[in-house]
Amino acid sequence: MAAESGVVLVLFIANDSPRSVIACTNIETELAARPPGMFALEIVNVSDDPDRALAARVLVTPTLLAPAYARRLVGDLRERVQLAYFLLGLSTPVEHRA
Amino acid sequence: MIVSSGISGLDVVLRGGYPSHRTTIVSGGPGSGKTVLASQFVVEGAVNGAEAGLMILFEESAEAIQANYPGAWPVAGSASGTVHFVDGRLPDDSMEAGTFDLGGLIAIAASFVERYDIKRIAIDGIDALFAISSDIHLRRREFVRLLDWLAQSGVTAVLTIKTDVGGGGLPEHFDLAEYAADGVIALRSTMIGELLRRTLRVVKMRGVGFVSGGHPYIISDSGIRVLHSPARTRWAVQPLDARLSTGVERLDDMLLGGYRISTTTLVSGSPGSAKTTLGAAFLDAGVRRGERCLYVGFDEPAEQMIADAHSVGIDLDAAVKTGLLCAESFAAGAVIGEEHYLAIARLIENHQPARVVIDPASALDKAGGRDIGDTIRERLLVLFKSHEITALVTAISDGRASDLDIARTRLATLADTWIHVGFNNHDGERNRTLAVLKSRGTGHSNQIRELLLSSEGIDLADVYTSPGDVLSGTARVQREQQLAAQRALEEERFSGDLATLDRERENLSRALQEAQRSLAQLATDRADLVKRDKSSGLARARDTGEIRSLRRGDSKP
Repeated sequence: MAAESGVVLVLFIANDSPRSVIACTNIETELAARPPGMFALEIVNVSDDPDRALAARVLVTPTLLAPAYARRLVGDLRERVQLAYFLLGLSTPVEHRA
Repeated sequence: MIVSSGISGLDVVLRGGYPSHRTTIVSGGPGSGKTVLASQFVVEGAVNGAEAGLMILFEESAEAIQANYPGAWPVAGSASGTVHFVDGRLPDDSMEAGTFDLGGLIAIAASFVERYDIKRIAIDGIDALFAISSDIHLRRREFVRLLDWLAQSGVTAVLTIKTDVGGGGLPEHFDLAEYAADGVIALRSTMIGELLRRTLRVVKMRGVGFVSGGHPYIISDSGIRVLHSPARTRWAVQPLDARLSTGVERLDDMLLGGYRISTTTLVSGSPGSAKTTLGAAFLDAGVRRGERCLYVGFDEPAEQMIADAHSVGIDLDAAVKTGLLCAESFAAGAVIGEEHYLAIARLIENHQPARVVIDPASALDKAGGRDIGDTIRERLLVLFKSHEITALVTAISDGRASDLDIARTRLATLADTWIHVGFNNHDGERNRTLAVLKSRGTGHSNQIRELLLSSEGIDLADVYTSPGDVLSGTARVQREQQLAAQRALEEERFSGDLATLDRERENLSRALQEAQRSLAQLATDRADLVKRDKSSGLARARDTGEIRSLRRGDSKP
């Protein structure tokens, strides 16, 4: 499968803040465990591209977007189960606390 | 440096406005007006200060706030060019997976500040952003981070946080906010009976002074309006002889020309005692002189007052048509007293009246109780004074209570003149009486007068007192007739006495003339007598000599 056909993921981070660094590590580790080309990950630094963050309404970082799933995951992605469900395009069994 | 809040009353409370380059937190329950307050701050900068503003919204969209609070956005078109919006509402497809920070918010805000030279930022409902995290430490940490960024960015910021319905303390994770922020304003809502009362309190404001305590406010169609303590408690005192006619000639006489300009007169009395009629007469006298007048009625339509005034020959219709008289009425118990105050204040601003009638001012008790009623009446009196308005306010004393009941009210204390209209029951009649109980700066009559209402107008008549009683109505008329008869009798007696005396005087003067004539006669007679005596003496001497010589006596006599 070509990379272009993979599920697009956008990770918004803020510079090299600890949570941003952890989020990058977590998503990369998770994707590495899957077949290559299944996902296409883009990392956006909100400080470099605030307009992109504004357009996507990303006010908290890190935020992982999956436009195809119309879902977003907020936080440093340390909760691997949540991340796994997210990558499958499924709702987490644990509801977020709104 | 201080920047206006866009709310004049709040500026007074804050002694000018928010401290510039600082962050003020505004906390309040749902519907307490946080968004309006934040909007007014940004709009004020954009419209009056030509400062670009940024609103970051966490609860409503930009379109919604401009549509929902038109009062705060009076010039949506012109302001929109310099007010920028960021929709911060977290899409509801969000899930939490670990800790996060406000990197996105700060990066977006920083880019706006740089690109558009933003001077004012309002962040509305920041608590919604934190709601997705259950981590209290994260909330505290990120909140302080936001405040730090605002502090170093050089903008002046207002940040609103939702509290529980009443407007109690801040949510747990904002407990640091009150310490970390430069200023904190708390909005509170309380229910008084069925009426909502809002108050605003400045909890702290670093570096600037503020008026402490709770300040009532309302959310009107022109935004938030705060009832601050009057900024001006000094006013020009009018000379004692500056008077406005009461509309009742004899009342003018009693009050040395009328009500003093820039003072308030309280007219108290039980229902039906013609309080409103005295108000109508006062307004009528004003419009006749071309003065702008304002009538505010509670619980009865103003049209009713105008229609009723015809019964005493007062026609205010023309004045209403020409706009000289503005007559409004409100349901006293429908809203909290502050709303009434601000409605009246706005009428005064718009109409600029010289005379105002509030009828009955006692109805304000229904708008949140006696304490609020007292406060609002007191504020109104100050408002009148500061606008150099001559006012007449009425108060209803209920059937049981006497005027003493009103004497205990603050209104009676504050009013410059206090007139009580009552009823006098006598011989099965109920007649209206009027007494001036108090009149500052006027030596007034202590006497009770009878108030006469007829289609000719309003008049006062003297009443008569007999021991322990005041006579009015038929009793007064009877007394008047009695007195007239007495007077006629006395006059008759007098003229009789006078005639008698005149007659006597005539007699006496005639006698006097007689006596004078007699006296003159007497004098003449005497002179004659003396003359006669002298000649006869000589003759006698001669005769004596002759006799002596005849008797041959001594030659000496």
